[in-house]
Amino acid sequence: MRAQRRKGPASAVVDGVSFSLNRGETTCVVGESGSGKSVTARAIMGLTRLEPALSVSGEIWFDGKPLHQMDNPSVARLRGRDIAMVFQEPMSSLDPLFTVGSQLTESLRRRHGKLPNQNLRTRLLALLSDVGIPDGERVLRSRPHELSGGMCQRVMIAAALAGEPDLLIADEPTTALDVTVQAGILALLERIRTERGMAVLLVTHDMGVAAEVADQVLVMYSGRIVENASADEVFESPRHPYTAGLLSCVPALEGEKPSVLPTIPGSMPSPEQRPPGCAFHPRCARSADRCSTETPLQTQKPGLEYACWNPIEPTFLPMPTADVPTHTAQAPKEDAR
Amino acid sequence: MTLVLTEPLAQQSPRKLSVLNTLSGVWLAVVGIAALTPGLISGVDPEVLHPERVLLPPGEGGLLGTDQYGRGVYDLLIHGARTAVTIGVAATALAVLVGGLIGLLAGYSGGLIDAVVGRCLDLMLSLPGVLLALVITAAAGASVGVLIISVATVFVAGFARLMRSQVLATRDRLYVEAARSVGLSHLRILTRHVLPNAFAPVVVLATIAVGEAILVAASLSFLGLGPKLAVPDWGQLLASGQPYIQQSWWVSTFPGIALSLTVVAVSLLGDRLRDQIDG
Amino acid sequence: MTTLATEPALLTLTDVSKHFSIPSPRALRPTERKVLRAVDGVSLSIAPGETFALVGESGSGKSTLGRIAVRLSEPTSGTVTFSGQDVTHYSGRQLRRLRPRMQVIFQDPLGALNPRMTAGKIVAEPLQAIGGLRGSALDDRVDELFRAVGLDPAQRLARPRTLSGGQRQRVGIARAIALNPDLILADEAVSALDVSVQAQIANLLDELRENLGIGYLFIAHGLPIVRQLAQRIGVMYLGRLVECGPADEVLRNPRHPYTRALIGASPVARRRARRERVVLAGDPPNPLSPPSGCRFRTRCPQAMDLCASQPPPTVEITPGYTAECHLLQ
Repeated sequence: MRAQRRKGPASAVVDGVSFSLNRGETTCVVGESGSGKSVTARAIMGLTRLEPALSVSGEIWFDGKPLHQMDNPSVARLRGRDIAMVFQEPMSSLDPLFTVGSQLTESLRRRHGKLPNQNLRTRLLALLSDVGIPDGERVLRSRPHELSGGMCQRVMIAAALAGEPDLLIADEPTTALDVTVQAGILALLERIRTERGMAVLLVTHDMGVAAEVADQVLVMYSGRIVENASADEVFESPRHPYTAGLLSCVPALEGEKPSVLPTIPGSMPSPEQRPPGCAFHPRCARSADRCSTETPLQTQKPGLEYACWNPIEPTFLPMPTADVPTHTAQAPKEDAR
Repeated sequence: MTLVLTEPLAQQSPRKLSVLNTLSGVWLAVVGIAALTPGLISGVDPEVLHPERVLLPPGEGGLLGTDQYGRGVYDLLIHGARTAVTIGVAATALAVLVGGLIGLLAGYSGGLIDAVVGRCLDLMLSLPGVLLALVITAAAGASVGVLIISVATVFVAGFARLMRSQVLATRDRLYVEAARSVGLSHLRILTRHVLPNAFAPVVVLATIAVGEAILVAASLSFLGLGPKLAVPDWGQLLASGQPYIQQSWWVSTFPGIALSLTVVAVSLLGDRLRDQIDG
Repeated sequence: MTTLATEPALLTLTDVSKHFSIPSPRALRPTERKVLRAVDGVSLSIAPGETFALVGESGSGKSTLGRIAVRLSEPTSGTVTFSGQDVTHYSGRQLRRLRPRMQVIFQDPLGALNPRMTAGKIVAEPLQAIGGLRGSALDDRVDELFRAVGLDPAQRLARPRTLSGGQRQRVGIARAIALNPDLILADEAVSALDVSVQAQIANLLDELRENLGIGYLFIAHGLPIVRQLAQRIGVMYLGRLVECGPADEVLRNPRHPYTRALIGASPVARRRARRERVVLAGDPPNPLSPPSGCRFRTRCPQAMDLCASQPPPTVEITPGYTAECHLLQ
């Protein structure tokens, strides 16, 4: 499964993004709002075809099939079966007029056609218990507004699993949920991924969430992938200054507390205002002359890609991107506890 | 993979509609000029009667023919536009003012006041508006002032209700709460924060109402309840041509067309305005 | 509740409750109402120039409590004392005179700014309408405020829609500090912002606290940002303040099982520090029918029989540090 890169004009919402997802692995796409992470996920689902203003170029290969050459009905057939998606707002993704049962039945039918009633009921209950809902009978009869946010998200995941997908795309699935509920949903996603051996593409703005579940991390900035590496590489020794900056901005729960949080000055440009060269260079403490004129190439090493002319050397602690020289982006000394 | 935004996320503007809009604009401009300076497009004094030119068809009797007193229908229409436009605009303005104020206060204060005002508005809206106007003009006598007031009563309740619902929606906006938490006075919150954000739909309705008000005023005139003026307004003209409609269709037909065109043009522009405000 | 600070508290809430009566969902019986105890007997105090963080999940009542603290809402019972004055039942003119001293920064920076006003007008309004500033004095003060929150005074003419999320929040902050308040309610003021911007705004808030001596009631659901900013923390669960004490202490050695769960569930952007993930059973219960006894017992890994029958006592661990749990006795 891979999405191939093509050159695009400067106003591209997502520009020359290529990556591949592996079965049984969780890949996190992280970035701030406007980085193009959500639209990338929707493009894989073929959902961007429904937006006339967006045109997609490049190749998307799924399980040996060229999605980019398929017509809309064929992609629609894949959607909800081989590729399933879970969205941020579980409440609004479910239809308030129908019971959870009838909505799940519909998802099951997409894969299995019409099922005899007895068989259907068993399957529905099995699905719900699979996503950690013990009292399935009650939930099946409920309408979405009678359930909590966490419960709705579990139902949405059950609906996605009903099609027995090979790829599950989750777009900020826990952002609207409380942290204690989020922990449950993340654990659930990880469990079903190992049990079913699917690929999971998790879109998130939260570096913490990525650190918890990711095997592979794609960091996006202004429509481009700036770093693509294993989670260990990204969190232990980020090469791209933006990645390092993002990590240092998040305050820690343990260890030394800085008197001032490291920051990245400024904010992300919109695609129309994307500066030439490296889009990050105006905010980057490591930028050189070259960064403002030439778009950095992807440096490719096995399992490690980054687009930077002046990457952070892995043997040293990453430099902070902001003007706070006393503080480093890496995790401070371990807590004494 | 590259995703390109091929067109800006602006709404598409169908070409056919914009032609209609232009035509509407031109027509309203003509009506406006006629109302402001009728002499500019019709040099004839419509108060002078010409017994020798009675009920001549279009062509022979000028552009649109003549009426039963020998006056040109074209000249009458041009000179009658002022009454129609004055009544339409003034009645709407009055209705917006009174209705808007009622709605603003009811919506902002809420509680008992709002409940009472709300019921009264429902009651007013349940009466046929034209009937109400008819009763007022019949009772108070025919003058331009009375006509304006009676036409305005038709629209007051509608404006009050729209304003009230707008204010109710705006009152709960976060920036109004923010203004409240800053410690601003009610008057300031109302005038600076609630009103400007609640007013847009009222403006749209007002444009459309001008057309309707012209129509209502014409109806009252048609029924003989309008002011007796030397130069008849469009409604009166329509009415005065009625006895001759079999032989001399032009006396009634052209005022009717002028009325319809004006109402349609005004509502088209009102729609356009709404799109612009919403978009 | 006692405060560590020797100076008089800026804000004290004593046994504050807020109950809402909710109409029954059954349409045919509109008279049947249920009582939602959004806040139920909470006491806390904030010292001048202190950041007190209120953390908890949705439905915990933290926002309701925040609104009561700045008197945007009146408590059902209990008292609100602001710099020595009992302001619990202030209304009308009295309340308006109090408002400038307690300001609010909202979660949604765009929604909190009037779309028809420019950034400069938004900041100038309180100065003009309440501070009585005019002409060049007003202009100078607005410029000064813009610079104080890290905005270019040239952006005075910009409308909220054209500003970035961080800039909008800076405008909101400039408006809040315009009248030199003593207390600011920051209701999830950084939660909706991107991480890099979040750090900028957090630093700005802390800087303003140090320079202007503003006390914050900082409402948040993310613990890391709270650790960075707060001197003291109150943890809420279903309307109750279950743990309240010095921030470092509470985060390093939480006493209440819920606080422990909250800390354990907070994602940390460190691979090495990957800890055991704490997964609480189930979802938070419906606040309309909270569990008997201890409200947390349905999800508590250490619940005992006692927890169902009796509400837990408030245990003072050290002066100024309390927790509500049967386990602490």
